Amino acid sequence: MGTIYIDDKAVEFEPGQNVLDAARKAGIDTPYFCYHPALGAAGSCRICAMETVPQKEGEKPRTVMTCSIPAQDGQQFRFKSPKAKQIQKAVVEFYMTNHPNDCPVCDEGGDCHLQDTTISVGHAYRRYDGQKRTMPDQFLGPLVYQTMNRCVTCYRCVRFYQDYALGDDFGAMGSSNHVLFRRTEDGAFDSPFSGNLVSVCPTGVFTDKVYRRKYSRTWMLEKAPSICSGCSVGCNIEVGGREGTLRRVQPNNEESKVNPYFICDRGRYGSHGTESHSRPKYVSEQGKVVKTSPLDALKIALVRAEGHVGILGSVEEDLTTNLALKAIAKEMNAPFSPFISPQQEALTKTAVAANHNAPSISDIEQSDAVFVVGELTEHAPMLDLAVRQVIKAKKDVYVLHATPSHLVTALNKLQRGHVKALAPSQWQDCLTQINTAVHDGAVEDLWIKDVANALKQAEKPVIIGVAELLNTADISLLNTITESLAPAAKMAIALPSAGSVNAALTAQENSCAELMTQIESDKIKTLVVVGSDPLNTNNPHWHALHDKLDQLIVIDKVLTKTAHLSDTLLPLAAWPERDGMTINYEGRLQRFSKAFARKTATIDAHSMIETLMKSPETIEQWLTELAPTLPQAGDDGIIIEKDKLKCTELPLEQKTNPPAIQSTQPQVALSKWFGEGYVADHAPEIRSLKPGSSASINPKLAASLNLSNGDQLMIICGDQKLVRPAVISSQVADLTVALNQADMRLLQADIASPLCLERTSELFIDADKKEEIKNIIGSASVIMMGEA
Amino acid sequence: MLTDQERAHLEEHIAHYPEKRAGAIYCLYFMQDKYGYITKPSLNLVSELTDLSTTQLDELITFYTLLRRRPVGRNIMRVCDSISCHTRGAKKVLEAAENATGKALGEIANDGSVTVLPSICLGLCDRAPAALINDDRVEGELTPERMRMILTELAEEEIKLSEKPDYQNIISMLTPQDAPAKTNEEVM
Repeated sequence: MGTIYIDDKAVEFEPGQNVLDAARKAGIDTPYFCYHPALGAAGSCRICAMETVPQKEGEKPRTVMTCSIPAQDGQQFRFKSPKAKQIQKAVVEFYMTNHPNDCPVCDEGGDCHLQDTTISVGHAYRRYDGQKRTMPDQFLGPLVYQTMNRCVTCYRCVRFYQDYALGDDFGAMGSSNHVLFRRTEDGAFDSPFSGNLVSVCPTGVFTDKVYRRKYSRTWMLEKAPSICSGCSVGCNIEVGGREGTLRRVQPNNEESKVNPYFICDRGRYGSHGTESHSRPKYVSEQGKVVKTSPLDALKIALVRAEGHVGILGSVEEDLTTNLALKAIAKEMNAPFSPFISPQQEALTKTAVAANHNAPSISDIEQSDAVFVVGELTEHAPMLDLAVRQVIKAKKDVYVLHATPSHLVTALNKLQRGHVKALAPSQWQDCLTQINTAVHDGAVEDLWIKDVANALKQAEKPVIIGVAELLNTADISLLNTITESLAPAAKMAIALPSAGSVNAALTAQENSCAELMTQIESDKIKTLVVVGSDPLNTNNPHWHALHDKLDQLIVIDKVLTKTAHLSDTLLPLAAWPERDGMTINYEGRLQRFSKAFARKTATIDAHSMIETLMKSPETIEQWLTELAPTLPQAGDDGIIIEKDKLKCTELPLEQKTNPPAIQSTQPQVALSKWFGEGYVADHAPEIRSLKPGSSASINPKLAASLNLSNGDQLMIICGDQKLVRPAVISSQVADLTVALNQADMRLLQADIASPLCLERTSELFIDADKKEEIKNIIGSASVIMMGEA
Repeated sequence: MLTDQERAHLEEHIAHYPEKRAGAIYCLYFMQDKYGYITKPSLNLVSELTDLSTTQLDELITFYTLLRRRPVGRNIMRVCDSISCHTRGAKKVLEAAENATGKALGEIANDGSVTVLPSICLGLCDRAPAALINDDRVEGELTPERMRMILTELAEEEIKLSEKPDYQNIISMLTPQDAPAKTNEEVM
């Protein structure tokens, strides 16, 4: 702590802050472009100039750039001196000589840092009447739109993309007055964080291309602080809606402990999935729209069921919804479960229970050794961004994975040999060995020794696992490893979905099994499904259960497979359209508030309680038990006490370990894409970037099958067969076939299920391969096209 | 792409520096000298040698005007357009070059003989307006007429070369005498 003086006003600063930082925190409206709280200063824009006040006799006032001067006790500056003002004015005038005055047609207009600065500095009239510089724009895919002429060369975009997010397909090209910020080739960005260019750019060079299609000026938006429903990290977002539709999503709170400045593309663009044309908007019965209010329809349907009701909540929904459903179920004496399978229930509960000592994002960023198990980017992108800060700080990061991951690419660039690709069935063995090595046991594998040493030597080690890819034994192994490290060691398990903790806390013991048994034994004839998609799993069980039901009521915000098969389909309010509360992976209770109302009536937790329950107090009571003071929307949330986060009962049923498979047999590994999600799958823009179905294998396996990139590969799992083009990637573990979730469903395969692989014969024969094929077939004549 | 010897040479050069990326410019020049410009495969190769991404190499190449990503003619002529040469009529010289080749500056003449580029000061102010051909031949006191003459000369160079009577002989001399006669299959 210390004090500096700006225009004779005392300004407190923290050690390590620069003068601009301190001035900004103290509420002095200093202009700046190249400086960004997360990216630091480049010293390139020259607008944050202030004048020093002479401290000694004979000293003259100097002009300094405050962003590159560390604050020291007793320094004095003049921000409002004529000299400083003149510099600021001249710099803005210089930028405005080239900047097009296109604010009326610019998406950034009204929300523009350059516009604000130009006005606050007082530059109103253009003196320069020469030609402006014109730059070529580049097509950057469906998410980000570029207008290069507006650039003020602050380099924030490149500093974010290359230095902060460790991307390498976007850069600053050229020099002096001809700097272009672009990719080497046209097309969409590789990075899962590219949408942040929109937030980082102080002017309108990068704008949100999805928002652009349904644009509204910022002051016309109905905005509210909300929480992202994309994954279990629970990022703070600001949602802007207008006329009953979602328009824009952006990071909200600079002071947030979860995500101060950035969000991932799944959060920013995936939320638009609720705007898809197929979204249920009206009550429909047997596929026909009925003109009633959704709540009335629900009430009538429940009355019709005569007490034979079961309720299926969702791991995608918030705490309030699951609590409301639980309370309603209790009042109706109906079974309730938020999980679609006992396995999912067991795994989620174990993962939530293991997260009792989870690091926050800033804990991860400040850690000095990180061990990641699984493809983190593809499951919880913002945790990956935090790990990238550790990589950047040249602290050890180790990754154990089975399929290609963005984090592996980023890590391979800066830390060689820190990555290990292992087939999923070998993970448990590897973790056991790491555990042995951490406890000073003898281990042969050098990589395992390195991991154990790095974790042991670190003061604040962090272990991050991905719940969807681990079984309960793996999670408890990670827990044991964490417990034997330094006292500050922490472990986080990235949970499968945004509401995993909510679901784990509300579910009774074996709730899903109970629900399923009751349907099977014909006790339940009506099932209410809220925000869940049970008929879209690789579990054929649910299809049998569906046949037993008289009535399937689905309440959802996107049109899922289950919604297609429903008898009654009712619209559910998405998170931005209602108030609610949720808990993220670290046990942080967060509140979100309603940004806008849809034009047609939707169902939400509160209205359900009001219409369906006689005594609605139960939820409030439960919440006050959970946390004495409840958070407000837009704040940091409240960390729930650790013992309250423990699930009601620990699962009795362990997730079955993968069947023992022969060491030479290939196996399935789940390969996700970072933009996938329950809602995001319905957002057309981000979905258009999703890679097609393929089977990724590593070069060694490809060679043994005599496959080259793009060849058709027949995958056989039990009775199921599937043909997919092979993609050869060195990031896939040996004897592993990386498949996406949909393909795994088709194959009815689980992670680490054994496979048989075959090369399929080619449908078309290349003319140049004629000779080769003749040799293979032997004397039989091959008649090619065009050959007599 | 590179012979083992060339690759070893580049690796040895890179080993001089504490950081691999410091050797990037040398490697890029090497590839440019070999192929006339930096091709995409060359870029990937330098990226592999220096641990810089291809985007970072592209940033470097676009920053320095002497590195090029596009093909050029057999000869490169840099005509100075900085202050001394400008006052002595570099603009007219450049215009003459454009007219003579029929191409804009930076493009390859139709016959592939030359690419004319404007350049910052070449340090030849005493002989302004000046030009540098292929980094070693200096032309001073240029006029539009002189420029046209030089361009014609460069265009005819190739023709002269092919007209040389001993041109074919040189090739036959270079072929090893004891080379085995080609088999019929190879000829086909």
